Amino acid sequence: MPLSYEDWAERLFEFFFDEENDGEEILFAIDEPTLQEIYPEGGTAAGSSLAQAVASRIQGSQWLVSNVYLNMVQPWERLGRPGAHPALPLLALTVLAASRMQTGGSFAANNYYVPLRRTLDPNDVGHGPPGDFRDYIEQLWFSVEEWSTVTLEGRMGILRAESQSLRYVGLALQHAFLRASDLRHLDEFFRRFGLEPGEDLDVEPAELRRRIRAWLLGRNEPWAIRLRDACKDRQGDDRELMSHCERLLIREARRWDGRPRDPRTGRAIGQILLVVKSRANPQPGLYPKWDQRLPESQVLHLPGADPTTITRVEGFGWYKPHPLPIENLGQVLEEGLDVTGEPTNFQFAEASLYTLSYDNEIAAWASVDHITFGEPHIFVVRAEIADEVAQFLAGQAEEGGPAGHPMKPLGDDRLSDWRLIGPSRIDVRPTAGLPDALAPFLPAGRGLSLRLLGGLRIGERRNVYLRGGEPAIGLSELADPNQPLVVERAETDEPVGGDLEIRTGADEVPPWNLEPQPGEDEVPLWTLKLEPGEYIVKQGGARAIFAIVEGVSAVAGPGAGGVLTDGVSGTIAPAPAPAVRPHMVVVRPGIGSWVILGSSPDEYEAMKLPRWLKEEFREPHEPAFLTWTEIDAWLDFDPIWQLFPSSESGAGTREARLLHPSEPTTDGTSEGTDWAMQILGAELHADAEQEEQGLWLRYRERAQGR
Amino acid sequence: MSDSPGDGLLRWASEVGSATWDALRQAAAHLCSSHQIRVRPSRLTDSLSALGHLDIDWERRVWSVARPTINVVPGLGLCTVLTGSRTYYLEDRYRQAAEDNLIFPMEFPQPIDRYAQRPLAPKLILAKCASLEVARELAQRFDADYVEDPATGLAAAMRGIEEPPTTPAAPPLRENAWWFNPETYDWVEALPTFPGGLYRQDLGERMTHLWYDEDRWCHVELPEGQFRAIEGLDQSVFRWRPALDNAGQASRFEVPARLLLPTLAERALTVSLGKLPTTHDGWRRYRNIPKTVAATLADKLGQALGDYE
Repeated sequence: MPLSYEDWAERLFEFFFDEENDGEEILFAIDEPTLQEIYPEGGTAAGSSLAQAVASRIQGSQWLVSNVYLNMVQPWERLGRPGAHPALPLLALTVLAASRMQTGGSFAANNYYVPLRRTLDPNDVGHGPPGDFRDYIEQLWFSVEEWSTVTLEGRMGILRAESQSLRYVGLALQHAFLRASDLRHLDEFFRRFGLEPGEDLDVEPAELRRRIRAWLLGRNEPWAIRLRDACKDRQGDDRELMSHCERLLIREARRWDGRPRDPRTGRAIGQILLVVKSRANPQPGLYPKWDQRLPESQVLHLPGADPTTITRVEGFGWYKPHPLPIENLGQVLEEGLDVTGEPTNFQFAEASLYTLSYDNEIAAWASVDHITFGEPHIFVVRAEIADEVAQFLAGQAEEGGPAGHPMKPLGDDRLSDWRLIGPSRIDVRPTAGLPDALAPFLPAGRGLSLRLLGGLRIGERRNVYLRGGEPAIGLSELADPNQPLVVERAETDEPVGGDLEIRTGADEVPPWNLEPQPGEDEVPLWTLKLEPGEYIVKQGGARAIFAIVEGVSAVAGPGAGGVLTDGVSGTIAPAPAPAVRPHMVVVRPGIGSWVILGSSPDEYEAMKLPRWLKEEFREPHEPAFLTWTEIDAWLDFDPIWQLFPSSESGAGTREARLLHPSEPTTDGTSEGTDWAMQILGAELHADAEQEEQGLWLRYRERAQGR
Repeated sequence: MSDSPGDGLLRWASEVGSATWDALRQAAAHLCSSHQIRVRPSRLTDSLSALGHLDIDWERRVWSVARPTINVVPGLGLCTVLTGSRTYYLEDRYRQAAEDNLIFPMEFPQPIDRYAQRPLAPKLILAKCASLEVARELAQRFDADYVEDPATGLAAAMRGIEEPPTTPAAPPLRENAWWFNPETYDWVEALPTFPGGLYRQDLGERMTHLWYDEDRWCHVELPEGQFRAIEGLDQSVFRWRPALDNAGQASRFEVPARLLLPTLAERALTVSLGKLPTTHDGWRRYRNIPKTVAATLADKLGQALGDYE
């Protein structure tokens, strides 16, 4: 059963107007695939269903657009504008017509009215503006803009009606000159140039557009040709489209969060990833990935297969069943795949190189959108670039590490043009020589502005670095390469370091002029050994500011001591009852050994001065300097007497000195013990007082067994 | 003394306090680049953990720097060892606190790393104190913790191998699995029958280790797995020798270089001198190790403590 005009209005409203578009411009991009998404029951007849519904309200090929404005929109406005705007189906048809204009041709009005007429009625052979189209179409667009901006307060997106020089036609063209699916490839561009989600992008819209066009030069995929054409410089009547393109690109850059979204609606799109289970027998498959934006269970309409219900594996970030039943895998890898889903659409993005890392949840290698330093990855690569990629990876091996990065064909006849490389690991951000195909996976090289890369960043601000941890400057693609890079001390109105107190070094330091070498994508600043302070880096109109500080924490940063190793943080792991404790004992000049005695015959310790320490802790070519007058003796008893030999050789009578007075505790069985022998072979020092003499005498008596 | 990459990493880690493993790795990688050293960044991070400066939770992939601690170590003649956090301001306060006739601060580089051909790890910071009381007061002056005989405490806290591993694991694919030969310490291709023992699941350059016993696979840390595998074999893997006064040599504890020690064992041994071990003829040598500490570690790892031949 075909949809009525009102049904189409409702469906278009639900599809394009969403809180995900809050405050953003809506790209009302209507083409055949989009209509099939909106009206999946209609299949390939979705477009004719829309045309039929619109024709029913404008008297068919008489094109009485006034009927929609006077009989539908005005009464609806008087009712307080409830629900969907009644002009949406008619406006959708005008955009559909624009999408059918000749690709790459001029967007002038005379190219528009023929497809417009034929979109409504394929048998219409007329030319020029139909019916009262030009009398009312602008009012309809303006009414929709006002409704989305004022009535809906922009909360579900804003549908702009800006035609300027391309009056009547430009209103539809601004939504049709680019396919929504083309915009998803900007993801690769943003990754390639190191855009960070949420980054405050400080770039001129025209520069961004030109840069994207330059990036696409030499690429021959259909999407690249369309996107490149959309980004070209335009003159005359087409200038407004150029501005609109720039607004769209800036919008996409600003709301990019690294995860796929529908550029028309801003809604989440699920990801299908390439997975290789076994490296020995690599048979790639496609697995649907779950993330927190997606439902636990849903339906996918895969090409050539019955509707497939996928359900999240409990607690895991994957759906089952996997792999998905895809027959033409080789084609999918080359062309990508858009899958209509209920409620969420899924996509697999085509590429010439896929980077995969090991995923413990599925015990397999799964494609990822960035390379994690230090982690092994494998690469599924088009055969024609495989050698270049393998060579680059081999150059990243650490000294002494494995240099070989085996390359092999995939164990699937459909993928004879692809190779598997790795596993291999990249430890450090490469500064040059990165193959283009790998560039989107590594935030390296040139960006859209001067970027601060690496470095030892500390504190809550993004651009505060520890002294000695200066970042590298990623050069800007948009800056004049003939301009030197200038680094100089800065005095900014708002301190870079926020509330941090930044100690500054020498006040007068000259600016540094750095000449980037040809082929160099970044310039390290650590060679400048910058003093603490605020700095600005400039190259032409591009600039970046940062601060160097000595430190921000008094004792340690937040969370110190929070992680334990087997219940221990650092070196403090007290034994339940320490068996030995340190006691201070005296050291005599020239005497390197002594004996410590306790109150009972088993309390005996012969000790030596740690002379090896003098050698250990000395400066090269300097004399040893460690000396002691007292030292720590680690004993499992309380020391009572310290006995010194009379000479370094240990020969002769020992001299006894009292450390802590305590009566002997022997039971008369001490005779012949080391303890007793030491006491009997020693004499009390000459200066001993009467009390000490008495105690010594009692010890000697016990040593004799009395 | 010029700063090593480890000094820079410790200062950064101290300022940051705690973060993810990835952040630590990237900081280490940056320092390797800026010092023009091509070694795995994990060599830097491992050394910080072994020296008691920071702790890493591998399961959650997070780390935190340890509290600054003055360690009084038996046999070091009141030369206290500073471990844990070393922020710029903390080092400043430490230097001020050590400005005292009864304290003599010293700094020494760590042993030369065999791959980098220069010291990698953070320098050893010592303070020779006139007495235990002075050492305790030094710690108080710059808000550090104070600990006596850390090695004994660490050795006591270390988990032994008497309890079998319990975290179940899926069996490895044979193509990825390597078996640890306890006689030679070599990793050999797994047999189809999967004999019991320690396995390495080789995911390229990332390894996980599994223990297989009585038809059961469990996750295991590599050092624990190695010592479990060699337990009961007639080999002497630990040897200890007392200090040789005449030769001016400290006591020694040695372990074959191819056997790894659990982190707390490593830490107990390094804190006894404040330095990383050196390698001699295939043996890793730690110095100034009390026999009681050596014996505790050996016992917990199912080994007897051998003498030098």
